Amino acid sequence: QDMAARLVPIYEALDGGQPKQALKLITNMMKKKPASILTVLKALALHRLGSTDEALALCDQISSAQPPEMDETVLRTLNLVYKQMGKNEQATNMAERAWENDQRNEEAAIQLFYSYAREGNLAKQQQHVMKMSKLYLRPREDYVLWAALTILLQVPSDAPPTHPMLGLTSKMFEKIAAEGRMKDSEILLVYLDILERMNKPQEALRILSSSDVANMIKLPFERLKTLAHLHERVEQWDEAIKLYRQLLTDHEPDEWDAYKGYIACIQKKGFLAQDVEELMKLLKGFQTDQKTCLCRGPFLAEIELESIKPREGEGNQAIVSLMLQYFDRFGAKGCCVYDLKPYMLRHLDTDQARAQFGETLLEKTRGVSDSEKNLRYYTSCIQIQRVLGMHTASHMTDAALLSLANDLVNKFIASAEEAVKKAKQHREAAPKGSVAEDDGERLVGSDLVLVAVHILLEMHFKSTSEQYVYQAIAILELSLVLSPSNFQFKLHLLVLYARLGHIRRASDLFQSLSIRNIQLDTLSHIVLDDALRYSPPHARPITDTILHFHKQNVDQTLESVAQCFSHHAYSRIEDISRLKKRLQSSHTYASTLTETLFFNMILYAPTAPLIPDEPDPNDLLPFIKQLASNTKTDVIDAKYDVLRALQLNEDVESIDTWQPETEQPILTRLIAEAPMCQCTTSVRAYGRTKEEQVEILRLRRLTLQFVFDAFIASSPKADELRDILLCINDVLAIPSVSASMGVLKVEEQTGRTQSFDAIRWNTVRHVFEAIITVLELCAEPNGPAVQTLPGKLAAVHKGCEDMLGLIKGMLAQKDHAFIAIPAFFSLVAEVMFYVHAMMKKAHDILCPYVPAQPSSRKGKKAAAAAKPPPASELQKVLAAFGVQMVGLSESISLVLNGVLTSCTVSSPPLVLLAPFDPAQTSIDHLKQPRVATLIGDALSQTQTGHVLALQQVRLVLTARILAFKVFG
Amino acid sequence: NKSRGRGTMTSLRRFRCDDLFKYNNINLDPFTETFQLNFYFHYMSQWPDFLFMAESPDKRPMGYVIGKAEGKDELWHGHVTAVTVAPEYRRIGLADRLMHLLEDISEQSYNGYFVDLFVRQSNSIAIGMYHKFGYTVYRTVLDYYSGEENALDMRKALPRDKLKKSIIPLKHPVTAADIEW
Repeated sequence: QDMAARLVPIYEALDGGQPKQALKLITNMMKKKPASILTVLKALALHRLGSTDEALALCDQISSAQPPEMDETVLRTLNLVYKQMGKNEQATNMAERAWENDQRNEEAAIQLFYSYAREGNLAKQQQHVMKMSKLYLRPREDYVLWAALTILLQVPSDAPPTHPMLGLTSKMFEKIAAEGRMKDSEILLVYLDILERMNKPQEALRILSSSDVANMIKLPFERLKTLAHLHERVEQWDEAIKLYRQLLTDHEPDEWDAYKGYIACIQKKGFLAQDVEELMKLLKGFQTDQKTCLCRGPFLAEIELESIKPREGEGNQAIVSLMLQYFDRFGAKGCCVYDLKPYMLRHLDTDQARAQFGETLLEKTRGVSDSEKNLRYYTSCIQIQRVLGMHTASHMTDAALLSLANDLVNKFIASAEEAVKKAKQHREAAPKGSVAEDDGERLVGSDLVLVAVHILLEMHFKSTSEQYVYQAIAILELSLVLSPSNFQFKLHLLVLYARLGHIRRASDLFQSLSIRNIQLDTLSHIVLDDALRYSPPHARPITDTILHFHKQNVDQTLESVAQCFSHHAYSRIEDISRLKKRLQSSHTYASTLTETLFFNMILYAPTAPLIPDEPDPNDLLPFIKQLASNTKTDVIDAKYDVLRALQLNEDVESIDTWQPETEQPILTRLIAEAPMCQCTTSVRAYGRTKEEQVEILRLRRLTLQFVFDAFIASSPKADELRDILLCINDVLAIPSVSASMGVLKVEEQTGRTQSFDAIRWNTVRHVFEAIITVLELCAEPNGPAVQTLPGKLAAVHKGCEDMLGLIKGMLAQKDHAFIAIPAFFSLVAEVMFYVHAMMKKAHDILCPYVPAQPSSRKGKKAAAAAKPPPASELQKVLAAFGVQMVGLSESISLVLNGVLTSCTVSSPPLVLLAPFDPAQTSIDHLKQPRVATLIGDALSQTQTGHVLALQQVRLVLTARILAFKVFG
Repeated sequence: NKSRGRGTMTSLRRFRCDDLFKYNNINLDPFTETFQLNFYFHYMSQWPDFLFMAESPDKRPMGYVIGKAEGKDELWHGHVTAVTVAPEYRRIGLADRLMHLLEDISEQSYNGYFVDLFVRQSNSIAIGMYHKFGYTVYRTVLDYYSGEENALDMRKALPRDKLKKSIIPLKHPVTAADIEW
């Protein structure tokens, strides 16, 4: 007892977040008299201070002791400390011992139950709770119920209705209900769910027929919905209709499920005139009642009814007229397009009907005089036109499409500039700090920009000209300046930049979207594949956060399942458990684990083989051996059944496209068709099939296995080692190579072939990427020693040659994936040719225009005074890189002047345009801050037209950086 | 029926874990926080009936609400932890409907005396909206948001608080340490 009192200050220090203080107290007390409990608390303090290994050692030392050293307090505290360190198994062990010491202690039994739950050990959990149900005659909790829930957790989510364990649990619940132990909706909801899974709505209705039971669902609308749905399930149409009506009239006049159910019942009854009439009366009542006339439900319900009504050759007149009325009423709402979409697509069944509908809407918008409202209606109209496929070649000429895109952007910019100005005035007029800088509301007409972007991307696909992509990016960047909180702008930019290989900007955008926690699993695919290919250093932070998130997830979900038991939140147990399964089998997680191994191999390898005069590659042997032996086999498991069980958790709906039926998903085609991004690797959720993903991950893992086996099983000779190293760094480490091989393989199997040229071009690009990657890696501050550029270039050239040698070697080996690309040999030759050609071209064109590069900060003045080149000449420069300034020529001279000046002032980026002098240029120049930031900062005050032009210039510069890195 | 007279048209149902995989059209909004999983689990395991999702006819997530019940005796009340609506479903009264739902839960499922919420003092749009929904400022909490910005504690009395005692404004601001829960 004395001890307990003396422990109080320690607990206080620990609870108060002062582990250091606690440690001091403990050490002092231990000097006087050691005790097990003190050691355990010391472990806790150490763990909180970050010395988990030391803490764990202490705990393990104590836990091996026997009573009386191990009294209940010690066991309980140990359990807690182990739990906090995430050592569930040891924690459970302590809980087991605590309960075995004294089985009458119900609290100890419950704690043990939670421990099993935390560990996810369902078999033991079930066994234990069964014992508990017999042991405690006046139980604190309903252990039979807990047993039923534990059994339920073991039923697969896709189990058939006849699954015996479902039957068993339903019997248990039946008994619980019969004995009056079904106390609240949490138990009832699980029971109903079981019956639903067993396909027994009749039984569910029987249980709910007691009003005491039904009233456990406290919210009337939820109760009515449940009942109505069940009556519908057992085909008691009239009863269901009555309940749906009640729900609508007494509670929620805008509840779509009720309308949908109501109309479905009418349909099932065969559209009896009286039913239809009664519904119509109800709808008309709502539509005209002042209180409910703004509800969308009653109007859309009328369309829904008309939509499924059997029609006797009267055409689609009636429904078209209803949809037009709906547009009149709700066209100013952002959701109008989503509301009408299914009905338009179903009932406007000819091109002509669609065109006419779109035209009529446009007519209608012209009649709206208020300018803001007009823009809202116009936006809905344009979205609908896009959904109906009117922005396609069959309806409009290229010129008309471009002019429309132009109009859309101008409309938005004019309105947005006005809005931004007004907001600024408003902010300045209000007391300081009382109005936030950005209220986060989407500017009116924002979606017009997105439609314009999609039009441009369509043009790009058709013409294969990259200028449209640059234009799209420029438009989005400009719009983002006006509306920084619009995440759709950012998402679109993110995709485009990633596909262009401009990973720095892409990863900046990724950061600015604050993608975190579960979003890492659902959204990181947008950038991750491209980042892995083009710039592993940028991919690394993303993969690290993905791993961190997943590591946390398993512990948290299981802890929460235990919490659900303790708080009686039974309806959530299954839900949370399913989430855990879904995350555990995440494809993103699995491939991240695999890619991380490659990272570790490349980034932390003590030598980089492409750098001449490096130490003996034998140094690498112990490193890889260690990596290989530390790798869990499931991370490189390449068995098909394992890989096929992975789940794609990507959220593919988050990007707004209003894609017409006739179009394939736009983001797929960005990859598949456009020459700029013909690497099929970045498709992922946007079009790559699961089959392909399985193949790709399989090849990645096989590669790892190959490397590991080579190092572990045999002790390769020095030159063999060097070959393997080259192969890791140059080719095998680049996911895209595996990826294109994976795609090839699937195509081979399915007989579906891409054109040979596309595949060939892909492969060429992959070689480029290999080179870029080596460059990027060497440029990392913590990477291998920074080399001078001449050395680097020599290394790259040598790398290409080495690769040739490698490929030959690989071909000679049997049973290796590389054999999949027999044409690799000639492709590398192409690369070499291309490199030389491009370098000369760039050099010749740019030489005359670039001001002398200042050698130091003092040279600034002289550089700034350099005469800007004439506009027409600049046009020529830009044209040489395939970029035309459509409609912006008047701004170009000014803007480029500004760019050149500002760049000269800050100096580094311009080195990329400067005449290439190997003697004076170092790889450092490749690491300078983004050109974009520089330009953006320098010209943030200019007018929007100029910013637009600037963004295009910036893209050119960006392309130059890439080109430089690839070809330079 | 509290005159829900606007165009929300939605299917209201309990928020499920699966929704976390597809709520990005709501959560990418910079003013909507994407919490750690633990946060959602904490609410689900203690107030399983206090999380609701609004889904459109074509099954797009429209918005959701997360709340809880807490406080002792006459301070027993519902709390609005998060209410958020996707950009494309704004201006149709959905926030209003979600708030009503939360009040219904606080009243019918938890029998609370009032509903409260915290809002940044600078968020004039939200404050105006809550005023419209019948909330009044009960007190100012100094430096509530990471010590940088004050919060307004706004309340709305439920029928159980017949005399509307819970919403009589405090005369002086309080600090975060003074909050009862």
